[in-house]
Amino acid sequence: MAALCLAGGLLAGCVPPPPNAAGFSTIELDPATRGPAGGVGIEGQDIMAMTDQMMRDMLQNPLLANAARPPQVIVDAQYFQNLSAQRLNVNAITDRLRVGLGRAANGRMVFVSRESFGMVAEERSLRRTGRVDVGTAGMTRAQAGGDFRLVGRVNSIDQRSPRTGVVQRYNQISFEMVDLERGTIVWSGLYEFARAAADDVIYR
Amino acid sequence: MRNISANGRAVSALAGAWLLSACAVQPPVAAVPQATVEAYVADHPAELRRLTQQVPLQGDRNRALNQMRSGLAAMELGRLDIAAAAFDDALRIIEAIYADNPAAERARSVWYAESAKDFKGEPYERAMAYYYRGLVYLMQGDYQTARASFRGGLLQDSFMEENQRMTSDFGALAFLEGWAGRCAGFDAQTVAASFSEAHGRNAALAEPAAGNSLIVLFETGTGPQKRTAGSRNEVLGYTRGTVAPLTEAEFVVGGRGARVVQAEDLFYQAATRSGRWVDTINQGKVVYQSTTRSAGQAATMVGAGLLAASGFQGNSRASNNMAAAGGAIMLAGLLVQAAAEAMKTEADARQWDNLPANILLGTAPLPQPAAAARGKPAAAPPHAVSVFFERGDTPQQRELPLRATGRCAIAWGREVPALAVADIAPNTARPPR
Repeated sequence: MAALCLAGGLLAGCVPPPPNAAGFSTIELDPATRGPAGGVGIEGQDIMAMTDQMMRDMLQNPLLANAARPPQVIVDAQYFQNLSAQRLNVNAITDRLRVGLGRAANGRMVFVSRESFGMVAEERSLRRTGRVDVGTAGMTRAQAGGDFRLVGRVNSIDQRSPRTGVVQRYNQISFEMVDLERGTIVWSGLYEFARAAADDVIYR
Repeated sequence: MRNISANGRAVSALAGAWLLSACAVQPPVAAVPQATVEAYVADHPAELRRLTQQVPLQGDRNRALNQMRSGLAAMELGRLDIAAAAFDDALRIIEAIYADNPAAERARSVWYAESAKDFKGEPYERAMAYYYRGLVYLMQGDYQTARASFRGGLLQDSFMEENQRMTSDFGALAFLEGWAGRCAGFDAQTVAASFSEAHGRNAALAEPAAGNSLIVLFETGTGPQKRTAGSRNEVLGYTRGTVAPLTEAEFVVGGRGARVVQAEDLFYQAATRSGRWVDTINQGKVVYQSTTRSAGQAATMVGAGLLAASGFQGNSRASNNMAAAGGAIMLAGLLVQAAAEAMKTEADARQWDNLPANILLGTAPLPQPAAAARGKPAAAPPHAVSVFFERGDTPQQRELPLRATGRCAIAWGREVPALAVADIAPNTARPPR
């Protein structure tokens, strides 16, 4: 009996097999909420929240969304810098912002695709040399110029305590719309958050 | 009464054995179907498959390690697509927060060795994963993300100074952060801060001249080797690799030569970090094991003493009771000793074994091809950098492929091939107990 008790006590040190040992089938996740795996950096739900917030804010700006003539704006990742410690595809931010704005603005802004410049130039050349017809919308003297262009930065400040294993990251994403003639900033927005987490002591 | 005692002892022994064996139960590891392995390596070069197939074969516990090894070998073969995917997968594991993780919990248990945990690597190994991922970004011309990767590596190697400021002594990563930032067109102040940090950690890493757009990275020797120390192998230590690092080399591109400097010594990075918390846990396991063993030995001796004493009591009831008690205590003592022997105290010595001993680095202007002259076609731009060095007294040469994208160019290569390793990484063959 004593042996059983002792062995039972020793058994307390044992650990059952891990959960999800057999895995699980594909499940649908709401991209606007935090998923089962995550760290302290920018995640999908952050991109959705920040772009929604910036979009609403931008549409409140009279220069951008209530001008007599819809302004021509460029929203792409060309001048959106990632200065953080996170490997991040900033196109995920600017693409969602542009698509969301395009739908919500409903004609109050005109979006210029500067990344398609080469493709458009090639088509214009084909039209002007008669190798293709002019299409149905006619021709213009030049491609559209931008009135405003989005610039931005992703910054992070990281802290780590080797003693406690806590990793903390302050994430800051700034957005600015720059007047491409005068160089002034006509709108700006900021999205920031901080997260902390600690690894198991076995990794410290 | 003797029969009852004997039956009781047998039952106790069987129950004890069953309970002890229960402690050794492993999480189920399903055999990986051959078709799964073949599908995984289907688009991989033949010489790479013996490494990449270890990813499905060895499972999640060694996944990051196998991705690091095979990613590096893929880089060497010029398969940047495979290398990028491998390092992305490894970094996903490194960056994941392992809280409430069953494997980590097992590794803390006295019944399992530290190597029961999923491999993330020691800080120098994690930093090197970011380094290589950053190099792949540089080769692909994504300078902005390369900079972020090098910064991520610095964080893995970072520690807190007395003034609570985060710092790292991985000068090569700071230099590369500055280099990638400059190639990405970041502002001069941000770039200068990185170069200044690099120079502060390694005086040889001065800010490169403004006209230098080519970076040459040449890795020599073999990486630091992990070894376990202590009476029960509970402490992790390091020795230098079998091929010593070289500190001098010269490179030539487009007819112009330049020298490289030692940017990083990986043995220094591995060996100079302060102690691991997990070593303290392993040392605690040793103490617990020793105490348990002593208790078992004491119980065994007491039980044996009672059994012996019962022999002098004659065939009385008291004698039988004494014998039964002595037998039970001795059995319990033996079980406890067996349990002590089943405890696992070893430090995790799995290691990324195709790392180099050091990194040599140099920068230069990228030679511009001569324009076409009458009767002569334009010269082709250089496609390789020649590196000259001496191993022993033997002069040697390597040709590093040169990749130019956007504002900058990079040439990277190794003295010791990344493929010159066994199929499986050291200390990964045996499943953890």
